Amino acid sequence: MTTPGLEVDHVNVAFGDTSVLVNVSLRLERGEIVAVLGPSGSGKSTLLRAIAGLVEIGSGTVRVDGVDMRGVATHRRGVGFVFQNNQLFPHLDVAANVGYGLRIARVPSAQRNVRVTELLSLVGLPNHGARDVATLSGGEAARVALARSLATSPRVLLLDEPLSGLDHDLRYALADDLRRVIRAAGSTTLVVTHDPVEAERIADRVVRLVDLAAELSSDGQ
Amino acid sequence: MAGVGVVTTAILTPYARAARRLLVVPVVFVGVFTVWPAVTTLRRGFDLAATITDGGLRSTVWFTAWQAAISTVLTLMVGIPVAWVLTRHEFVGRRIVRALTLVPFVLPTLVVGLAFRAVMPSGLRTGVAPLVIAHAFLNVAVVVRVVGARWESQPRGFDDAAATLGAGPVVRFRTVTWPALRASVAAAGGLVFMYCFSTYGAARVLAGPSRPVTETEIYRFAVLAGDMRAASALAVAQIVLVGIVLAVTAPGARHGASHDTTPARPVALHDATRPRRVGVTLGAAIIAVVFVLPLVGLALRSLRVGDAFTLSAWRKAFGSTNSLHLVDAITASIGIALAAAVITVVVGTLVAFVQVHAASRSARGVATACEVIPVVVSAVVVGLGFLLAFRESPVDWRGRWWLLPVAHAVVALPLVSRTIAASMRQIPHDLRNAASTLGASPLRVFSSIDASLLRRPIGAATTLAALVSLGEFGASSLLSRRGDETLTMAIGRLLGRPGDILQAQAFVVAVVLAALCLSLVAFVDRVTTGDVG
Repeated sequence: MTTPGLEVDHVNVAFGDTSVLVNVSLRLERGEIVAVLGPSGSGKSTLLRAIAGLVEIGSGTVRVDGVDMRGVATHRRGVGFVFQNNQLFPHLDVAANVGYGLRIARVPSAQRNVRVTELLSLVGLPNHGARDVATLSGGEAARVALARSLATSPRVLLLDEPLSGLDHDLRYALADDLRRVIRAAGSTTLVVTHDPVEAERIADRVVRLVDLAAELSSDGQ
Repeated sequence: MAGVGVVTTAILTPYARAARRLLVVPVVFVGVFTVWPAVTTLRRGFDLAATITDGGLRSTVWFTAWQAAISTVLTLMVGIPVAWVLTRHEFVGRRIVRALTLVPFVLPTLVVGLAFRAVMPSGLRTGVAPLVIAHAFLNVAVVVRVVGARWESQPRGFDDAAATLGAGPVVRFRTVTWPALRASVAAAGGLVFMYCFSTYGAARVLAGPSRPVTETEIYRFAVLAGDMRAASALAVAQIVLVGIVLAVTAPGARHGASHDTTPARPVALHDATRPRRVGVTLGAAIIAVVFVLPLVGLALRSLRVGDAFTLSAWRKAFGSTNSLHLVDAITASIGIALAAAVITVVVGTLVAFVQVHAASRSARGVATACEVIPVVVSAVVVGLGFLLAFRESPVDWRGRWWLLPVAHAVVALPLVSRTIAASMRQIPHDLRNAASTLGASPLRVFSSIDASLLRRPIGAATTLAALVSLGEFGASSLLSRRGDETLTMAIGRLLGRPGDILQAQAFVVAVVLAALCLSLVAFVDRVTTGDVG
């Protein structure tokens, strides 16, 4: 059996007295794209945040390429994250947003520029580098956010309702683009959404969040 | 400049028309009681050659500027971490600790100066160091408010996004947080520099005789030395320099909050990492202690006469001695504060109304000028201007009782009109439209919508004006006269006289004044259950 790209093992997360994730387990092969479906408030975002280390795990384990992430700070996990609302840095232009992670990784600027250009064309926004992020449309912002998280070639890519802010038609067109781009990048990818159609279009495999917990509790006994 | 309150529809024409007419009141008020006294002072002191060649005056201005610069840097260095602790975290007691940081801002600078004199080790009671430290203590609240507000509106998502892209805590601060805060830090720094540059109360008790600042020198020349020419020359320098500082720093103050709509939630402390938890807890504890200590020191100092602990200064203060009529001073202070608050709120509301509702740019500009001019003319210069301008018939107003509340109103006006204008702008225009479609006349719209929505902000503004008046010392010390001495004047007089018991009595008065200010804030906070300060 090969080492999975991402493994979530009996993970529990609670905020104060409220349990948000109970015994959640999930396994993604390397390069696999999986969508987790669930209604809003069901803990989908929390699952992604727990994997990224943005939320502390009560018990359980997260492994990326077989490596236990316990005690590893978010910025050292090599996990890409596309946030709901994109969270593009308002004080940087499109190119600087996309190149941010490369600059942190001290990639020389010549190489950085090449990579940024490459990614912007990959997401279908060539020549948009100098734009102010405040002027982007919803679809463009989503693409920039995707390009930014892919720039450093993360081992695992996490997408939190990546298309939630967009209107219907654009959404499914972009879902196909998203799949194409992620496939090209080759990252192990977990996307959470409340939209089954969107999930089917992006992912190789769709699972429901409730099942992740249920499977587990029966497994655990 | 978001235009929530900008007049766009025909329905508001009555408001715009009213704004035009009402403008006359603030224009006359600021014209007579600020511009004219300032111009009179300028005319007397506009002898730049003398100012430039006079080494004494020049070194005073120079010292004032550099102590203000150091004070500003120290305030920011302390204030930014304090803002981080208090605005990015949720923990038990956060509100109390945050309120504590506002205490020095609510107290008269004279009282804070005295508190520092009480707690500093004997070698450090006067001089640059205690002055700079006191300034930082006084103004940390400004940084917490201005930078904290920006920080609170900064979505945590940016930080999280940067972390997933490989940025550690230090890099995140440098590349994400700092660019967002920069404008607000500049704005806060500008404000703090302004306050420290026109420092008076704290400087009177802390700077020491060998290190005078501009404002205390104006007082010394005008009142003690009777040299009106030198006083006026310094006043000119003060007006020009404050004007320059204001012009340089004001644009930064307009920078608004983030565009992002997701509100940032503070981190609940029990969810934070261990080092962060320890740091924040420790920080909050230090803040609490540092902000309470000077007040305790002030109270203890009032119990010390010479080397003995005794209640005698308190007993003498409430008895009838020749040195101090404490009850009379309390009555005078409260009466003047009430009068000043009424004047300020009336004029300030009109200034705000014109700024928000006037249709013409020029009317709005004039209203803004009415707000800015009293900022440029410092309190001591207002006092000096009153002395110089109102001494010949037909405006021989020397010794009139109302001169003091009017001077206080000039000092408090910018703060008050800004507070009211901010709330006025937030009233959604469609509320008024809704009222008029339901049959309300313009006057009725104002009384049923604006007036009731503004009740709390106007209450807060009234308190603010009363607080400024209670603690006002700059203009007061030039306009003081025998008969009805206020609390700050009593402190100033007692400090200037020898004898342990008189010195202790100055601290007694300071404690009474501090208690008065704090109970006023507490009272209004309870009545309005709003955020005052």
